[in-house]
Formats: sequence, structure tokens, C-alpha cells
Amino acid sequence: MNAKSFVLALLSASKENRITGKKRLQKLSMLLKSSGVEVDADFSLLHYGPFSYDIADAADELTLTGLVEETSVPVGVFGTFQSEYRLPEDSDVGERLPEQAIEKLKELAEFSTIELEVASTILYFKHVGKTTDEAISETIAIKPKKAVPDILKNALQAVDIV
Amino acid sequence: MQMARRMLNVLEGDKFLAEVDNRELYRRATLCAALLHDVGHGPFSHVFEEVTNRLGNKIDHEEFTRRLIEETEISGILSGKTSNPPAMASQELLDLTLSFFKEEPGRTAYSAIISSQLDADRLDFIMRDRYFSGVRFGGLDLEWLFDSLIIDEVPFEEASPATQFGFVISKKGRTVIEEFLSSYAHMYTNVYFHKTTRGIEIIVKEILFDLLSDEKKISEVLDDEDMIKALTRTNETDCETYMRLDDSVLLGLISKCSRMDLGKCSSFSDRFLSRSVLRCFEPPKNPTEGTPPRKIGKFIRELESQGLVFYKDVISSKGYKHYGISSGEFLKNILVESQSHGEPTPIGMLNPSVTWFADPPTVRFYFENEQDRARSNEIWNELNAN
Repeated sequence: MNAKSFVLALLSASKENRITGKKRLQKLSMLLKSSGVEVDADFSLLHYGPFSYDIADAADELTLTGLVEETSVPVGVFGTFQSEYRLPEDSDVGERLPEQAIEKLKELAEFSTIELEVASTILYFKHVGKTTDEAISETIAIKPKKAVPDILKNALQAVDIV
Repeated sequence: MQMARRMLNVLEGDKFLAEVDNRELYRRATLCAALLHDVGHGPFSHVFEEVTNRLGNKIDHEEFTRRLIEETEISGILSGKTSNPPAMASQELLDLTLSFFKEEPGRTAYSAIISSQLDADRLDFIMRDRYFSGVRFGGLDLEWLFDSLIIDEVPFEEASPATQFGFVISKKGRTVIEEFLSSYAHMYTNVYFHKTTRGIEIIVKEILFDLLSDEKKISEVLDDEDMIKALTRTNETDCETYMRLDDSVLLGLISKCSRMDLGKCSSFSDRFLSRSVLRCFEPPKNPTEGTPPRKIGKFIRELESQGLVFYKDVISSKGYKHYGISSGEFLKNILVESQSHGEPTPIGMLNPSVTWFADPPTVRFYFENEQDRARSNEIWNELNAN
């Protein structure tokens, strides 16, 4: 499916039809693509890990035309602002994610955004041909403050899910 | 680099910088990183990247920055492995300079000077561009701002064990950071995202897209195979050739295209050289609600159904620095020492009006002639008559 259809399908399959955070949207997209969902979106390693201009552009287009609602919401006790993407109530999502992907998405919902970020970075390195150990080492090398033991442990569980 | 040096001088006494072993090495590496941070940009920087990404030739200037540091004479100069090395050169200096570009920001206190919401580059270009564009608004008291900077280690997310070093503004600096945010937002709204500037960017992008997507056309204009490869398969290009790819190459292509009959790239090259700008229609915004997105969708479909040629300019560029400004989080999430509790607080929570500062138009539509622009205005009014 194309990137726009994928973003709509992803939101449709998410709890309360919403995803909080541009980063979370990106990392969930990467992880679901890794799990086998066929989506026309390329990922490359940018500043904060795997990133897809296709997904970002799709989210922008959908927001621009009102098919997705984007608002900036304070998150957590200290109120850090993040973008929240939500499907309008009357939205008509065409293609849906495969059932298996929807189940995986439910499991991935339990992980923090940083854990998903570390997980997707490990997967990115595996996709370019690294072994699991090499992928973990490369991830730690570029994300020394995030790929700490507690987060790494959970991130590897997320990798196992997909 | 000068801005980075000023920041280092101010922050030398900060407790996190003071704890670092071999501070002189870190200082030098920070200055080298500041000097080199954009060395990997292609011609016309983000404009060229957008075109190449659109063509499927995805490039990343940060990757090229790393490659140029590692694979060219820069490596020898920094490491001292050159015939007349500078006194301070060492392998450690090279490795540490590279770490700024290989690691995610936040590992050391020094990285905030190179990459953060208040990094040296951001402070420098706001001051410099304000001066050279002649705008009078948005003066910034740099001394006060520097005096208000604290380096702190804050969690990436609430309750996360992962932390990063970044800037926090002291309580006394709240006014100056609001001044900075106002200046920053106004520069983007009135200078960087000015409709004429963006219109000319569209012209250049269309020239390049038309030319580089057609092997026959580019071969007619350029007979340098290495340069053609650098333009069309940039990621496969060696560093030496990439370094030859600068603004003059593209300006030369535009000049040549304008004298040939190659279709769009020629006609748009004429436009560029004669400053014949595209005509802009900007959907009106409700002051409190903005432009309802569904109206934009209907408008686009109507333009298409009437066969009007238009170029849509969505103000949400994906380049690292640009992406920040078009995302509300950038402005609102600069951290300020809180009056009421110990944790730093996003400025957007302390002063909701900063959310108003970042208010660029969501989208503009450009047309090749005034007749089409006027017709688009009529279509908008017809669609929104009730």
C-alpha cells in the first residue's frame, strides 16, 4: 500500500485511532514494515534513527487535507509538547492492515517511544546486513544515551515481536 | 565557529563541562565540529536534497559531512597525519570531532553547543540573516541569553532511565528566551518562508527535477560524465567529485538551459534569470482556527478538475533545522527552570503565547500566470461562499 493509505490504516488500527508523537509514528511504521507489511516507504538513518520522508510527507498531506487531525498536546507531568495524530470520527479508511500486523501493533503499544526507537534502529542495521550483535553494537555506538541496558532489554523484546 | 567559541567561553565554568576529562581536547573538537558541521551540504543545500529525494536519489548532507571529514584532506589535518600538521592535531581530535556527527546529540554537554534547540548554528544564522536581510524586528540580547544558559541532564521521556545533556534556561532568562523565540519565528515567517523566496525555490526545484529526471536532457546540457553522476546518482559519487558540486554548477546549468529549447527546464530557467516569479495564492486563515484542512482538500480537487496547473508549497520542510520550526514542539519544548518545582519546564507550559509565535501559513499555491492565480481565488471564494 502507498504511504498515505498506510498511515490511515495504522491510525485506524491504533488505540483510540491516535498516535502521539511524530517519532512514534515513524518508529511504528518502520517496525510494521519490518514485520512484513508491504508499504511503499523507504527508511534511512537520520538524526534520530530510521526515518522515512515518505511517511512524513504522507502525514503532512493527510493533515493538510483534513483526513488526519494533528494537534500539539502536552504530554506527561512536565508537559512536553508532542504532535498527536488522530483519525476524524467520520473518516473512511480504505485499506486496512493485515490482522497479524494489527496484533503486533497492540503489543508494540506497550513500549515507550525510546524503546521503539532503539528497536527500529537495531532492525535497520539488521536490514543492511549486520548480525544481531553487530546491530546492537552499532545502535549503542550512535545512541549511547538511549541504548542503555534497561531500554535495550525492552527494545529487543520489541524486535522479537516483529 | 565564532558563536561556538563564545558559548564555550561562557560555559567553561558549568559543572558538567568542568567534570569532563581533557577539556581542552573537547573544546577543540567542538570548535572543529562547529566549523565543519555543514561541509556536506550540496548545491543550494536543502533545495537540491528535496529534488534528489523526489527522484529517488536520496541523499543526506550529514552523511556527506561525515564522509568528507573521514575521506578527504580534512582527516589528515585533524589527525596530524599530513606533511605540516597543526600543533593541536591528533587522532583523538579527529575521532572526537567525528563523534559529533556519528552519535545522536546529547551524549556530552559539548554536543548541545553543536546540536540542540539553542545551538551555535541556530543563534548564528538568526543574528546573521537578520543583519543581512535588513529586518529591524527581532533583536536578540546574546549576552543575556548566554548568561541564562545552564547545561543540565534531563530525561528523554518522563520516567525514562535515558537522559541527555541539553540547555535549560535559568529563571532569570525567561524573557530573553521568549525574545529569541519571537525573533526566530518572525524570521521564518517573514524571511525564510516569504512567499517570493519560496516561489523562487519552487522554480529552481522544477528546473532541476525536469532536467535531472531526463537522461537525454541532462546529457545535452552537460558533457561531464562525473558531474552527471554526481547530480543524478549522488550517493554513488566519490567525495572529490561531490566537492566540485557547488552552486556555480547549478547556476551554470540554469544559464545554459535558458538558451536551449528543452521544455520546462528551459522556460523555468528563463523565469529564474529574469526574476519572473510565480503568482501566489495563500488561502485565508481564520485568526483563531487557521484554515480548515478539509477546505484545502476540496480546493485542491477543484483546481485539478478545472485543469489548472499549480505548485503546492506545504510549509513543513523536512530538513533538520527547518523541521524544527514548522513543528510546534520545537518552540514550546525549550526548557526553563521552573519557579514552582525542581524539574525544568517547557516554555510552552509557562507562556502559552509562544505557540502563537510559530504561525506560518500551512500551504500556498503557486501559478505560472496571474490569470490562473485569479481564477484560483475565485474558486476558493466559490467553495467557501456559505
